[in-house]
Amino acid sequence: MNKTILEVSNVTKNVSSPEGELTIVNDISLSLEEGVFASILGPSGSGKTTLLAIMAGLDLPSRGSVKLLDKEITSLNEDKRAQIRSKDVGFVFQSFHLLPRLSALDNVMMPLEILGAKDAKERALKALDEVGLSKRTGHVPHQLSGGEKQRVAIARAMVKNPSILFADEPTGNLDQSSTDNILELLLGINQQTKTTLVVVTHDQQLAARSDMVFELQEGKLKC
Amino acid sequence: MLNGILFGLKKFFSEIGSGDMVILFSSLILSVTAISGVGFLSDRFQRSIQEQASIVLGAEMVFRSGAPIDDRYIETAELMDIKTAKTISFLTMALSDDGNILSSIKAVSGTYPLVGNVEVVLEGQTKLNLGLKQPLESTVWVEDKILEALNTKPGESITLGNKSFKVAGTLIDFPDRSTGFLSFSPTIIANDFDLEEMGVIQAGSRVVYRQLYSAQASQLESFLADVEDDLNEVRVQKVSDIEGQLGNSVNESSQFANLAALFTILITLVSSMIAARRYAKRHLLNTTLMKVFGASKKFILWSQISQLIMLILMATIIGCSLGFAVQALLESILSPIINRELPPPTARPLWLGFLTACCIVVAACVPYLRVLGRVEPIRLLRKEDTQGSKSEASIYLFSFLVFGLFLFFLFNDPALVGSILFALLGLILLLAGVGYLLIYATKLSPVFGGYGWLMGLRNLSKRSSENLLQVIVFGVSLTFLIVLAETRSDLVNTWRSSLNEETPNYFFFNIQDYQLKDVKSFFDEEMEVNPKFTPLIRGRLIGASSANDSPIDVGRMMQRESNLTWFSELPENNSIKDGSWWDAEDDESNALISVDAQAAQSMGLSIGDQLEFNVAGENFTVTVKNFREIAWESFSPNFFFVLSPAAAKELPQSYITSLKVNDDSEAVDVFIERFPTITSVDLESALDQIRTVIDTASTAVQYIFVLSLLAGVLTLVASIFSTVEERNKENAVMKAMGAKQSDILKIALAEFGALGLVASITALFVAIGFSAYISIQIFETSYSPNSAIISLGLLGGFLLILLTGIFVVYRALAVPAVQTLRG
Repeated sequence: MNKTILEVSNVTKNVSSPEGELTIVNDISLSLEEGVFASILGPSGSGKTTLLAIMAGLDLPSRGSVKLLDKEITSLNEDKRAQIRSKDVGFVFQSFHLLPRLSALDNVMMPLEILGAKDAKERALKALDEVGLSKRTGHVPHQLSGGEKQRVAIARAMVKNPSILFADEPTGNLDQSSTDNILELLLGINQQTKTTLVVVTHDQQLAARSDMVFELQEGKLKC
Repeated sequence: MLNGILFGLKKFFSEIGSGDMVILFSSLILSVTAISGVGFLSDRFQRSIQEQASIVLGAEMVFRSGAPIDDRYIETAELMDIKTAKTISFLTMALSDDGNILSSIKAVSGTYPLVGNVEVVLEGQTKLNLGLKQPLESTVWVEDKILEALNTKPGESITLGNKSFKVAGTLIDFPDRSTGFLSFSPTIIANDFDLEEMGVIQAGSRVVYRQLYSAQASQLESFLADVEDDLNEVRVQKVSDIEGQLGNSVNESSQFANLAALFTILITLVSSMIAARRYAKRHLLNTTLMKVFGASKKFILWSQISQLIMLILMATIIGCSLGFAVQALLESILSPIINRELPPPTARPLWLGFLTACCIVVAACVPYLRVLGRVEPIRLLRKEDTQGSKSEASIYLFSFLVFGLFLFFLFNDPALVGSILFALLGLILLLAGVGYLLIYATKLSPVFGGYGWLMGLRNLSKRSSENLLQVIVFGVSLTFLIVLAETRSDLVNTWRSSLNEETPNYFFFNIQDYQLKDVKSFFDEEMEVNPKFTPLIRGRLIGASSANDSPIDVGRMMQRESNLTWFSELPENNSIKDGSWWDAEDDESNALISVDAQAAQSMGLSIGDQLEFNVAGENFTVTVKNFREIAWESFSPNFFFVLSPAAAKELPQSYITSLKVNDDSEAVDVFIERFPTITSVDLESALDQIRTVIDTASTAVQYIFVLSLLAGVLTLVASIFSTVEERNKENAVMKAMGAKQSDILKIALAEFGALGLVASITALFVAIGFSAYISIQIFETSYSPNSAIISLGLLGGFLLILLTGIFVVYRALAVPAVQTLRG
């Protein structure tokens, strides 16, 4: 049996709004083992992204706890959570969020530079090679296609060999061809590196290829 | 921390060429260039002005007294490595076998002069000697006029008192020419060793003893602090204390340079803040990503701080280099005009440039640093705008406070800085109010002229906060530029008019009552002038009594004879500070006196006190009726004491007058021949020394203004260019929707036209108020709006904003819409 890498226990997230307090995520519990590919499905406003943020330690729940890599991150301060993210967590966003003035290589090097890695450049070049962009290392984002931008973003997320990769609608801004390519890339990473993959998506095709699917509706897990 | 610093530095160099960083960096460089350029130029001019003014004193500081000054001051100064010299000046008759002439003797020590040169043509030579210090014992250097009057040549002898002297050279020029009683006679420079043998200084002789000091200002200050308490009856003169127009021009040009520097900082601070705002907002994405990837708060903070420090250092180095280059270029253009080399600048402008960069970065960027520190990484996942939530108002308030602290540090004058900040705040609020009214009015006003105009005016309200900011930037910049232009023009005109072509260069005195009619007709017929004749009464103050038992100290005034006069009417260039001028009844019967306000203050006099004088053996008492402010710079005869007609009419008196005589006129020679008992005094050489200082100060003020103007114009242009990206996107969308180029240009015309007009008109009215305040309160000159500057400010400001706006939009039209939309 594989080791549990992420354990979410009775997590609830409330936020204030002009209409009063809203419950975005309501009493959710789940656990993921090392190397699984999990999808979180649900309509817009169902709480998927909030749940992802809480699982990754980017946000704190109003109630409940999250254990990531055997550490209860919900009781840690922001800097301690950032420390965990810097080593063990990778992120891929729908809008890529590449820094527009930096080359593909510099974008990929950034997480390693935050860690102070001496071999940042070599590792970044290797990561770009692995996503098929070894000839695009000097290009800045506006010189790349949407699919290429997302490959750079995946290389950036994987360059530090994280234990878990969170992807927020990674194919949401891509055409079908690019979507297929990105999907294959993510699956390949999951299978070859045994990196746990958590993907928030609307895409049923992507969800169908995952090991586990969690469907959210109005902040609750649909059983 | 180290990782954060290294990361920040690496990103700084990779981002230095990026759009937002370029705008912020350029803006910062512009600020430092402008401030250091103004600083270098004004520093060199100020040093030149100070040097010129020091020549007028012959030193950086002078102790002056009517009685011998204790040598222990010299001894103390020399222990402090301060250069010293002594001069003793008095009037005496110079005699030869062929004539005699009343001469001003200046007996000097071996180190005289400390500043400037004595220019002498030695006996048997034709070349001018500049490095000479003092004549050898038993020899003198003599001005041409004396040689002519005595019919003597260099190498021959003249007698001064009991001693015969060989004339060793002809005296051409020397520093510290007096404009006082000593200047009434031509000068002889003698060795102070010969003074005793001359035997002309007796008890009661009118002598001016001077000790000259030269060193760094700080050394002189500490020397003065050491001896100040013992300086009885000794008057301390420094360059900044020089009275009259010379002193005014030195001090006022320095004040103007400060004002120009202040306005330049203000103007460029505004543009830097706009750039910093854009830079920080764009930087939020970087920071948020860094947080997502696990960067700690400290890491982010140090990476940002290291970038800002690099920004400050590079902007200081590049800006100061450019500033130096700009002033060097200006100086090379100026050198034929000022006809001499300016002294090298001090390091002060470098510090000023560095401090300006620090102030702008702290005021403009640090508030955003806090925003960056607080940004929540979850914003990226929520696809929210990665902009800070911190209120813009609190950011501006912080910037305002930092700027205030910077000014306190710079000027060390809380009252001045307080009033500047208060005025600035008022100006910003006024411009914001007017800008808001404009935006509100465009919502209500009926629109004419079609789609382009409609969109242009709508844009004003659509981008209301940006447009309010633009109105404030335009308004503040234009206000300062107009104020500087007005102040510069006022100052230069005042200085030049006080020492213009018509300034009298000849004084005639000792004109007796019976000669008055003939002298008047000579001037009228031979020289075609009708000068005013002023009565001159020689008298000595011998006592004073207070009307209210308050202490009076007239000791210094009692030591020597004073020049008195009398007038029925308040003389020109005088104004009553306290009390009132005498009326018709006083004229007839009351013995009254009017006293110079400063002299009255030093003696502790009050209105109603009584002063007792002795004139030609007769004692009489007069009552103090008023105190006068005297415009000493007028170069007309001015008097500490003015008697009422009733007090003076019967006293023995002669007359004095002054007039402008052309260099080539022979009328003075004829006059001297016809009226040999009347003394004529040529002040041209002394006036020349003063003219040089005033000309340098005027030129300095003009060129410092040009640099500030350049900075102001660049700021206006930069602030319009800062909106270029957003406008490009809008234009591209409009073009894609089918708008014609002419429609887009009309939009720009309407928008920038309205902004320019409102900002220019508001700036104009505020500038008139500010200029009046500065002229009257700070420079103590009168103010009347200069219609040429005002028209040019209004039209120039409006056109600059309009045309730059049109240019920005026109340039964007050349870029294909699809290229802009692809981003």
